[in-house]
Amino acid sequence: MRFGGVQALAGISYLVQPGRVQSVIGPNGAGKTTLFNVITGVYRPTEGRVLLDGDDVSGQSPDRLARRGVARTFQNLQVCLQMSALDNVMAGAHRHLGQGLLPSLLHLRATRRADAQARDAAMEWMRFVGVDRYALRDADGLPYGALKRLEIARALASKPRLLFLDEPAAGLNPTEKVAMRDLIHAISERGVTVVLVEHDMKLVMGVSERILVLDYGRKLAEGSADEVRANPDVVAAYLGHG
Amino acid sequence: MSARWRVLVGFAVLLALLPLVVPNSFVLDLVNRIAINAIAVIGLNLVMGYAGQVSLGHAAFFGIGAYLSGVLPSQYGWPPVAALGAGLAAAGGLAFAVGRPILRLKGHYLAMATLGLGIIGAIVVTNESRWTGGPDGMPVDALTLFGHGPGNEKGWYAVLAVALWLTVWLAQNLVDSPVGRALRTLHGSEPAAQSVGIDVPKYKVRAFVVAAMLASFAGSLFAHYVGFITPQVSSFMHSIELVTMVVVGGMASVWGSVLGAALLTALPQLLADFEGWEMVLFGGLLVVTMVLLPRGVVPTLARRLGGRARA
Repeated sequence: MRFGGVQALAGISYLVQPGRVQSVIGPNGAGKTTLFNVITGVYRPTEGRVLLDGDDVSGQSPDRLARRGVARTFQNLQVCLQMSALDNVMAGAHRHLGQGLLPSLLHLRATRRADAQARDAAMEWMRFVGVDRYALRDADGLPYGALKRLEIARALASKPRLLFLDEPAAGLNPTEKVAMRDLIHAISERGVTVVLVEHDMKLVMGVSERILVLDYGRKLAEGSADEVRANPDVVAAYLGHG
Repeated sequence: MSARWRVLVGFAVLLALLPLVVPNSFVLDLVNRIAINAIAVIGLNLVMGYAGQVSLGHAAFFGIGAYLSGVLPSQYGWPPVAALGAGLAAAGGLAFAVGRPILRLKGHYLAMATLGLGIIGAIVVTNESRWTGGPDGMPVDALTLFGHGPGNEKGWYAVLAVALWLTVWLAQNLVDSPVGRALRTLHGSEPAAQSVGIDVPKYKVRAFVVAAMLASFAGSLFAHYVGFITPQVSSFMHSIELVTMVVVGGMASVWGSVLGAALLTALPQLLADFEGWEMVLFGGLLVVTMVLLPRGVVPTLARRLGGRARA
């Protein structure tokens, strides 16, 4: 992936392993979020391919990928502040709802019923991530930690197979970070494959079965937490090259 | 009965009782004009308030309806209802065709593009004087269906009240549906909308098409009701009037649109002594609203009352 003269990512081959929690780490500017954005369709790769179930999905728009079960959260929150928390989560169920213009205009019974089910499911997801008490409040004014969880609930409401979390622990206090770790475990137990970009090493080491390390847009190492920790290149990248 | 239906039934009762308290045909005429404007404003609010896309050329669609209803029956012998339908199709088709390229633009750029669209509309009706009578305007046949028409103001009131109620009903349905939620979501955050599978350009175009058709509908009704149209109906000033009604009444509020249309249609009539200064009034109101009630009248009141009357 190249932006003008900047080579943001190069020669990375990364296999997301189904059913596991895996992390992408690396120093600032290593290309972690760029990798997320290439995989989730925000950027079209200048070289290379993105495969989903063996299909080439490189450069497909994020909404098409989302409709194939790829969900994500954002490093800088993308919550609709003018909507209620519940509406934000219900939006997550979009791909499972009737999307025709006429049924919506006429409020057909089937549309209403599907929407009512989406509402119940959204409440369920809000309980699951622990923000149900904010359901009917405007998202504007919710605490930061609750907004982060709200984004996760919205992503889960789309019933994804693959969930990308971009810095889920950034800005959280230590207690919230522990709770986030438990939440990621719980999501994984529901059969969702989770990939996270994260700076908090305690969280990364605590939840990840596989870790990919990037540095200057290249793959530095990949393996289990212990393997990565023992890798001299990784240590050098994080502590500086002596 | 859900809260939504209680309000809609209440509105129907209000519309039914209104003629009983209206003192004279001057006021009834004003009410009729309010209903026509409200239909267009509700549509524009779907684009501006819900989907969050500026449109400064909405009068172009109003003009399409008005002029097709003017030209097709008088010069080509079309039944007025067929001409009205042609207006809906033409406005919807145009919105669909230009919507995709235009709605990719954001902020000021979108404002400029829609402004351009509106100006083209005004120029076309002014220049094609063979059909439209040019700047002098043209008379419009009466609205009839199988030989029957609304006739006087009272008859028109019945037609317009039903049309307005149906528009409110449709808009409320849309807003409170998966499509409406998708529009509000892409307004709040396009990345978020995409991340849940919402095809953002498609939904923007949908809102634009519905809004264009409602504007054309209002334009057709206006042409038949007033019986005479001039290029003013598709002018920039008219677009700004519609925008002001949306903003003053309240963005993302169907009832706000009705109230905005009522306030800003009634005010110039009540201040008839200041003729020619209407635009100053509209501009001033827009500024005052943005400063004091940035959400508009109805959403601000709804919030004060505990957010229960959210529309």
